Amino acid sequence: MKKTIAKRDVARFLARLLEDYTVYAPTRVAEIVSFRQIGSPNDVDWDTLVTRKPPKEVFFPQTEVLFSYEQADGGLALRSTEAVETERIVWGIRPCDVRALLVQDRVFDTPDARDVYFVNKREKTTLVGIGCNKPLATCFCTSLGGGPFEKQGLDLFLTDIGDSYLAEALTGRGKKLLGEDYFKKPTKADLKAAQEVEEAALARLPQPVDTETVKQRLDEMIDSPFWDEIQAVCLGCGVCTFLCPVCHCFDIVDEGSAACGQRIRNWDTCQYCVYTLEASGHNPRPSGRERVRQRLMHKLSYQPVTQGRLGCVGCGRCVQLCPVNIDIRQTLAELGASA
Amino acid sequence: MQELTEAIQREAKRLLDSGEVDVVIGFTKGTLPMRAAPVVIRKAADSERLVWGPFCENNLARYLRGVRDKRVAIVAKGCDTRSIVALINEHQLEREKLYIIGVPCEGMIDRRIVPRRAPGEVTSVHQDGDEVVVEGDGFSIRLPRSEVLYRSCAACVHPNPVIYDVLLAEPVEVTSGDPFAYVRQIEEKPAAERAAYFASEAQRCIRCYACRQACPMCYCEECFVDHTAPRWMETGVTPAGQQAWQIGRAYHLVGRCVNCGACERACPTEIDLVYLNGKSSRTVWELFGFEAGVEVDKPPPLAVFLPDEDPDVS
Repeated sequence: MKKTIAKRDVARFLARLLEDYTVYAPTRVAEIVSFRQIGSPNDVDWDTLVTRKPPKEVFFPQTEVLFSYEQADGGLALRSTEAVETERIVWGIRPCDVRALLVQDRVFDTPDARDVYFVNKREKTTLVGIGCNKPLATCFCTSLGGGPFEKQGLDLFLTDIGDSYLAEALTGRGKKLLGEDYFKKPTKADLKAAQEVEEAALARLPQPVDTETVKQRLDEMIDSPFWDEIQAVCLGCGVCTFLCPVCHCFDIVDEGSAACGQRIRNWDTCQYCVYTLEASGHNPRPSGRERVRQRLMHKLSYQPVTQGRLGCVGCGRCVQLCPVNIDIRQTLAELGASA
Repeated sequence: MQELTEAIQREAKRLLDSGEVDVVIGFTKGTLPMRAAPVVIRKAADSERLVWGPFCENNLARYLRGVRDKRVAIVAKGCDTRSIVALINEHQLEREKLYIIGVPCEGMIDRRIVPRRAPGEVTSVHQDGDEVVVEGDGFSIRLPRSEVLYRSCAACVHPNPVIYDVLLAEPVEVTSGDPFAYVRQIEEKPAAERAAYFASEAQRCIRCYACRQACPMCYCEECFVDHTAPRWMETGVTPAGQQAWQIGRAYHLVGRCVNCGACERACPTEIDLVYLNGKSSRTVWELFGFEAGVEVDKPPPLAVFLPDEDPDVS
């Protein structure tokens, strides 16, 4: 189902949604645009295409209390934090970030293991996506099978067609939102405009990479000097992984005392030396060489097997923010080039 | 810039051809506008990959401890050489094994500020005398260079290498401004306002430790935040964890930081680390008259004990 909504009505629509939902949207705080809970439609940043932090933190916060405990009346009182009370909306999520969420689904929600903290939030959330009319120079979703108007995983998809948005409902949840009276039937011109912005966006983006070749090459590169070259300049910080919408590693710690405390889950990263440090003192990934290799191997070789999807969606955050300009697009180009 | 690039390439080629050094650490062209990338050159023929320009923002001294088994040449601007001196003074490097290719520095352009002054996505930036030409889809604007320098560069009083084996250009003129002007500007605010400022900055910390990893002086075998048995501090991105990390990091650099700004440039959430480190450097300057990394054989004040020193500051 497709309808249109005039841009001047969007604020009223969002205000209406705020009555029933907890809404997360891109907001700007001290020049950093990330997904945060909004209190008013005015909080939304409409201009930023790729947010600094990915929206994964709405479902998988960097620091999340799993439960807290307290000694009371001779017993131990446990307080769970897994329940999610209100319905949520993530507003303005981009196709690459949704694609990343679909990989995370296959990590946190499998037949063998369901992570209630992640799943409960996912189940309560309606995803309202928006297409990317003007992809950035660092965007490369099309290299890896995605696209700036890819709709998979979304409930409602918006296309900016000038004075209004074309809104396409993709699920029952999405359809429910279109029931509001701001939505009109689209004209032929609206549909044509949407097609035109999509074509223009695609023309700005790179050609697909042969990811099968990349995987095959990587599988023979465990001992390659290729990793020494990257390691020589890699700082070993957590920027690329923490800001990656797909990366999902975590560490669980207990903080507090015997009397009271919390069990906390924090993001972790394969780029840290302590990530694989064992209690014996042995570290199976002792140097940056093994760690930079792990990141790329996991994304481009292991995850296509374990999750059936690539671990990179081409959002370009790691490209933009690596302090030493290590660029995964170069790696892909080198490894994917025909022999 | 082109002349300096060529001079660096020639020097690197000479050093590698003659076998004087095993590797040359420098910058190569980046993949984005306003970026140069650190590079390690091992073959003379690869010397042509080296470049110099207003985007060579990283402190390359950070890489030196990792190649201590080799004879190394390093392309070094003022702040890189100060870090080298500080590392020598802390017995982390041997001067004899290093060949320092000194490059006087006019200051690096802040890649975070420039896009905020442009009407669209920036696709190309180059320097034209005192101006920076910024281009993108349908626009070309010129900004005064002085307005888009990194804050640490704008306040720099040691743009010329303090130690080198060869200096590839005439020293640049040193502006005799107050290097701590920005620190003082914040210090003048009431304590509650300063505390609130620090809290709001630290609140953006994602504990990626890019600040630590970019810093030549952060070389501990085990960082205090990585100590897990027992754990020494909160692990999460809570105010307690974020502030403890930022304060702990800054404290460990007192009298050792050369104020190069590499930590702040690496920070993905743009936390004002130049203030935090500048504050400690100003304090050290006023108490001890000491600047880190300016003289070889002059150890940092907090690393020495003098029997007759003023007990109020010891």
